[in-house]
Amino acid sequence: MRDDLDQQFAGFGAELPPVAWASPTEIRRRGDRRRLVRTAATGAAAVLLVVTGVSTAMALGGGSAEPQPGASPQVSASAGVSDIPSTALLTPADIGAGVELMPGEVDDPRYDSVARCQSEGMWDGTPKAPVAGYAVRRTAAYRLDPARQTAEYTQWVGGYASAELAAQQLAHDRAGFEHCALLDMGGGFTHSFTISETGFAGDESLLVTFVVKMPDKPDRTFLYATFRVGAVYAVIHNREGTSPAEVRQLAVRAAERICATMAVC
Amino acid sequence: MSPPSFDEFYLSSRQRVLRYVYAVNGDLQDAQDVLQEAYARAWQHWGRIGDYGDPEAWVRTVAYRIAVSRWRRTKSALTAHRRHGAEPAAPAPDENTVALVTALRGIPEDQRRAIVLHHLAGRSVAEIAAETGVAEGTVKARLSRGRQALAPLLRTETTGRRHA
Repeated sequence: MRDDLDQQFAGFGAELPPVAWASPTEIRRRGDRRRLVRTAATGAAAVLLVVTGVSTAMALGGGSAEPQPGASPQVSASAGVSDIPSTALLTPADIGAGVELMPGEVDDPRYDSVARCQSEGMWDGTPKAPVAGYAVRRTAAYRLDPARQTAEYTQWVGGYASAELAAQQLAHDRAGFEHCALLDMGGGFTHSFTISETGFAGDESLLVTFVVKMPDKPDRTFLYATFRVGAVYAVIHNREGTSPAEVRQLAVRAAERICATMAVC
Repeated sequence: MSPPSFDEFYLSSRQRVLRYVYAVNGDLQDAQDVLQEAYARAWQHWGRIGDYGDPEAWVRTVAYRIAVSRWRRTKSALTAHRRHGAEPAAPAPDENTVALVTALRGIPEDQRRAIVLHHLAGRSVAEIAAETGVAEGTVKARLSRGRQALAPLLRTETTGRRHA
């Protein structure tokens, strides 16, 4: 049956009618629209939460004034972070000569192999990530090669309602790297995480080495730096070939920028 | 070694993935729509996907999920539409392809996916297990049952068409 089926499939679709393919530009535009819609939806949800919170506070306090239009989400200073200014993020020059900023948002840090390891029962996800998640975030993507369409460096910065919540997030991520240190992805692919260094930036930090092993191809190695400064948690992904010393230096610079521009240190 | 750009990846893989989606969902027009959505999602996450080994498997998986979701949502409406004699929007593929697609639609979804990944996309049992998130033994069982289920359908389809 195997041979019969292989034979049946050999010519499968060889004579498919002409297909009117969308151009790569159109596909990318469609993807960008999805990203914008998702970002707008997230923003709308955040605004809704803030308005709900304000209304509840007003009701409890007996106030009657409407919330001011355009008022930005406020978390009390003692509670954590309510805004991340763009100056809190690395500039292209911080990373190196010839580096430029790219348009668009960077996705929230998510490690597919960690998620898979969790779904396969290798890790129960403890300590848990904070249920409330971050209150605000700001991201930046950078590239060295202007012809590239994908970022070579990214920085993700999340502001939490308290330093404890940010620490909880970092502890969760750290446990994920530790419990899912080596994952067989099948087909000869493996993903591995190693926490190579700690304590080099901010209040606490991790330098994570992520290695993808592929059959018949050279290994690929990426370095991540994750660190916390007060109620701010940040993740920097680096282009392949970046040395640990460079990654540490970038993380230190990024932590300094956060300290210099936000009241979290 | 640098990863392919999104445009290169899209242009070089789309025809292969189209055949896969078409084999799974049996509707060429719908397969095209599904695929464009899957590639748009790939572009959204390209910073991560582009660097990780097998972006084509990622697109296949996403396309499959979209196809299944659409198929379940529109199944009854589509059935009613076809019952009333509506013509497919796209021209039909060649006779053998149509026969195979028709037979594939006669077997369960999981078996169909395993059969198509193995025989059309050329994936090993281990790779199918990784891509579909099940154990290798489950993949072997689906392939075996799928082949058994397909055998009579293919004979019927082929015989029917040859003698039509």
